Amino acid sequence: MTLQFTGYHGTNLIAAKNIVSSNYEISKGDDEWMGNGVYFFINGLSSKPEEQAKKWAIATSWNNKKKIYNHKSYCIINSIIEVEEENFLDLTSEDGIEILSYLYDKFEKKIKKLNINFKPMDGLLINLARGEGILPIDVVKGNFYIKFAKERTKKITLRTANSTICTVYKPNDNIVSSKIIEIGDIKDEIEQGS
Amino acid sequence: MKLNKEVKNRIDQYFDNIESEELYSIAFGKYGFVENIDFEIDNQSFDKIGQNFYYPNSDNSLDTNDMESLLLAA
Repeated sequence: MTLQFTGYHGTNLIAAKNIVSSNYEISKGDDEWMGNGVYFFINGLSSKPEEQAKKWAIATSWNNKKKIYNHKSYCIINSIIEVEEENFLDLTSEDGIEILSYLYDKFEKKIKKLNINFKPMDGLLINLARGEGILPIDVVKGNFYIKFAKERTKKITLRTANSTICTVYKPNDNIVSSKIIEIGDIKDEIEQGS
Repeated sequence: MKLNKEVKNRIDQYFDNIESEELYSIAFGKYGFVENIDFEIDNQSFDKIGQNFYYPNSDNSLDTNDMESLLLAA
């Protein structure tokens, strides 16, 4: 069975134009999240994932060293994601968590034979499972606590997840369409919010 | 995806057919797993411990100040 999601990706205008014309490039180094892929906000813990994408675009445009926004405009892209059920790992469900847990237990058992302690990271395990052909994972969904501008400036860190996000590892295969649905001025948004 | 017999078999097959040393080399060399290094201090005492901060065991948050951990503008 083919599953379909609507994902919202927040970024700047230049990046958005590149994405719409030549698709996404994967983000590497997100080891502690869900691995190397393209990330989207989707319906789940929040019913307004497009708002979260906007807030994310604004928060990540902030240059903390220079104390300025790196971009004048934010942009929200709406992408349709399709994936076969057997290639979809849902970490918001018991089924998905059982798979990650089983994978972790097997990995740990083998590595512990060398008397080595390691820092467990979901994203690294997923990268390993995909990269070594252990599991045919194309898309992963999970709930996370994500810091937007308010959480960052007020130094709020809660354990309770506030966002449902999904990661696509092969955008050319699993993203069937992308369109820009909103372009706005970052300064206007900040002024309206304050 | 469910942890059915097929998925379990795929995971079992991989880990049953790889030596610990080889898995270590792949996981830590290719995928960036990091060792946790613990220090054990025996038979020593401290008059004062300068502990000013408490860090939780795991911080599940995403700090947008930390450019290394940013997702690609999700």
